[in-house]
Amino acid sequence: MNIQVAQSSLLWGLNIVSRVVPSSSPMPILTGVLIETWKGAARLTATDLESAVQCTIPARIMQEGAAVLPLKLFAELVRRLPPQDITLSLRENEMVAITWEKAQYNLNGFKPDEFPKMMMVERERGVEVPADTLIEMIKSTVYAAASSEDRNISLTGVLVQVKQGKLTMATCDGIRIACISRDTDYGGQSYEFIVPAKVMQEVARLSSGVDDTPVKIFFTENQVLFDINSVLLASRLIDAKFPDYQQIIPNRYYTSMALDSNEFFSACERAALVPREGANYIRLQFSASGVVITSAASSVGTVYEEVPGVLTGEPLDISFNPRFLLDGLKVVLGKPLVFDGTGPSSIACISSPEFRDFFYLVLPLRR
Amino acid sequence: MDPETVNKIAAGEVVERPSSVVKELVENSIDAGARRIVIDIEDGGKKMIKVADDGCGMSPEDAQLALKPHATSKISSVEDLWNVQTMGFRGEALPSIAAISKFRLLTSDGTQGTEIRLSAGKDLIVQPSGAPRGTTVWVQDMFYNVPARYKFLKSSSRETQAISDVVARLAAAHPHIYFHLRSGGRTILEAGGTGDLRHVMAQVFGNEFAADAIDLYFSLETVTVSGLLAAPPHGRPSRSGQFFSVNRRPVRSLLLTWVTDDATRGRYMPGKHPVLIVNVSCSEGIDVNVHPTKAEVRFAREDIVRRALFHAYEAAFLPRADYPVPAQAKETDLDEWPQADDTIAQLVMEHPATGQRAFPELRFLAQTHGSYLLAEACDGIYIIDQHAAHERVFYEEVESTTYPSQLLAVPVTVSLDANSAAAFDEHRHTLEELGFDAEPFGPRSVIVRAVPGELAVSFTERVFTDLLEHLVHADSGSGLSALNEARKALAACHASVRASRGLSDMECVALIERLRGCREPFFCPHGRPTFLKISLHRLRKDFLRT
Repeated sequence: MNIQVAQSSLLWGLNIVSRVVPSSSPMPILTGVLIETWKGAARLTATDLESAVQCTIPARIMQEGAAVLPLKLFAELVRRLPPQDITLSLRENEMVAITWEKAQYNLNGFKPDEFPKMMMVERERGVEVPADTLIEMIKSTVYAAASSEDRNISLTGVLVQVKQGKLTMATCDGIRIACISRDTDYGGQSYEFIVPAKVMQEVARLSSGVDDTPVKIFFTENQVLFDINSVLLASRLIDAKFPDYQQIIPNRYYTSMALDSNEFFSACERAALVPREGANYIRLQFSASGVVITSAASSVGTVYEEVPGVLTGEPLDISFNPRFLLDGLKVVLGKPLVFDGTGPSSIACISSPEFRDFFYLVLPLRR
Repeated sequence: MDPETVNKIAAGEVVERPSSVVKELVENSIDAGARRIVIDIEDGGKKMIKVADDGCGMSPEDAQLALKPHATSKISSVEDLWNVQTMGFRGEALPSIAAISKFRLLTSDGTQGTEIRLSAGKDLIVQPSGAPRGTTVWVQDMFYNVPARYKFLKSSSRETQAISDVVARLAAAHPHIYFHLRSGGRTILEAGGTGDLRHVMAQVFGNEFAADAIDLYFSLETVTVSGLLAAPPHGRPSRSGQFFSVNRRPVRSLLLTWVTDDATRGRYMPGKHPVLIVNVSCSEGIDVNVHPTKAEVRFAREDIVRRALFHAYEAAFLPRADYPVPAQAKETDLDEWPQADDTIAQLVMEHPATGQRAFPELRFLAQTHGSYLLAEACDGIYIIDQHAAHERVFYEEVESTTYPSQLLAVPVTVSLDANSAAAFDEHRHTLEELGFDAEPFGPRSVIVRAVPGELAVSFTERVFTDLLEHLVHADSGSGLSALNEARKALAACHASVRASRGLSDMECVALIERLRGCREPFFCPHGRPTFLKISLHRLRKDFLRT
């Protein structure tokens, strides 16, 4: 392999693929980036075996071929190079010579044929979503996925449901459920699959700044491929059964209050400062005039704050772990907020009439 | 003394509680060459214990002799004592048991059947009876004639638990014998019969322990160690899953426990102990006659046993090493082991509690081994046991606050083994007070709908089974309320959850600060020290600067 690439495009490409690369691995080749010539360009691939990212950058090909370089070191070097064309050429023993002007760095690489193959995901079943919609959907749900696999591995992912004309994402960590749906022009059969939350975060990162190019999502039985303006992100799906969250959605609410989300969020955020230690909860008392927020910690102090709101239905006295409450409120920040409750020890719901097809269900604390 | 009193005294040594009766009877069955042993109990064995086997049985003469004290067919001279191959030999068990219960024995050696009945060791009835080959013993209304001892029996669920433990340990030592334990007709444990130890481990501890268990084997001189070790990360919060036997006799041995702790240290998560089944076979040099129940054992050549067991573990963890390792190869390592006597003197430098009581001003330096925090103060270096510190902090929290309970959107189903199921029945109310909402969900499993708020995120099935495990082994005799025990147990679980996650530097600093805020920062709720101090004075002295 012998190619010439611009420093800027090489750096862009290395940044794109760097996120999936582990800094150390029992399989050292996984810390590397595969550079190969492909249809008159250079293609970069990195993988941690669970997921893989691939992108293509313009290059002048002097000799076809492939090389694998340790990504962290290579990226650090490229970041510090002058903005001009640089040459990468493969020497014996997997060594790659990086040359520009009067400098030459020789880096030891890995054998390209030992690099794990990028997952081959068939582009048969797929759906297209505008990038900004996809980002909105991911940001509205991904925070409510479980961070540890201990309880149920399916909860560490984002459930994606593809139906005629509709795309739904849902997350649940056992205590709360976040769910959002958006319209699509998908016309095929219904499918659902679970994408690791980590991968979804990466999809959101890669999708920002691609303007209005739609993101193509292809899926098979066990893999998913996101085509984001020609950057490819492939991942294994989580092979587990997601809890039937539809069954948890209440049929009716007994308490409903319309609130200003900014005012309510700030008040809850302030109130949450106090009970940091010990029994960590804030108490919400909904009545005709609005909601009273209280919390207390014997060693710290007490909190009392009123936020006006319009009550429909019965008054409600309910307590939450502030973290779980705030996570849901953040999504509808800046929009009119509706808080729905079913009782002091049962599920509550946060939604907004101006942020349609989103709901956040959360279980309270029982005192 | 009249014979009745003698028998009652002897009974006190051998027969403490229903589980010891079960142990004696089952051991007799094993000595009789049984392939199937079926144990039925009622009311934790207090009301009824029945042990039926298909062993060689007894002739009418032997059967009557068996009920005389110190009548045994198993040994005849003192020399035999160091060479006992059978489980029992003292000839105490049957008369002792018969002395404190309504006793019935039905036996046949295949030619003649005999039935014997006794009440409180008296009113002997012997009659011929038709019976299949083997022996069946019924022990009813234990201690009915010794009310003072009856009072000391624990709740039925506790006694059932103890019996289940006894049978499980015997089953683990005899994988070729089929054991079936039922309580009130309900199966508690069914194990063995195939000769496959892995099978027994699965039946006793659960499939997850047995699936990737590692074979243990090492032979050195007259000692052979063999068994099965559940691979990390599968462990238990206590040593209750360590089944040792010597010449197939279940024993508890400080030596074996100590070697196990040493050889497996650092391989399991902090707060977890390995689960294992180990048999040490020793052709000579064992004294099992240390205690009437023979639960303790003494080795003439401790060093050989220690070395053989240590190498067995080492080989297990390094499956590619060429083993058996020559006995000499590791000699130096073993010599460097601290001897039990000087460890305490050298390692426990200066306990803070014995000096000044004020909590020192500490500056956090580093975390080591994922489990200790190093800190400095003006008067020396402090080593904080992260796990113990967490336990203390969390214990005082649960003690002082009524925890709100976090309801779960997706309830967690937890499957339990016999012991934890009994502990759940017994402590259900206490668990509710702690903030759990859990109810039985089919046989041997519970559904958890709410958990203490502090555990909202970290709660897993494992946390719940560990908690019950702690409760099973909580010291009920300490006079503390069950709630307090449960708080301790919960604190321990919480701490081990934290430990397994590792701490950032900021969390370490916060932990030290929270420990400072504790009422009793020097000890964990179980009484272990939370930190050790190496004083500047001591440092100077040891570096020969004074």
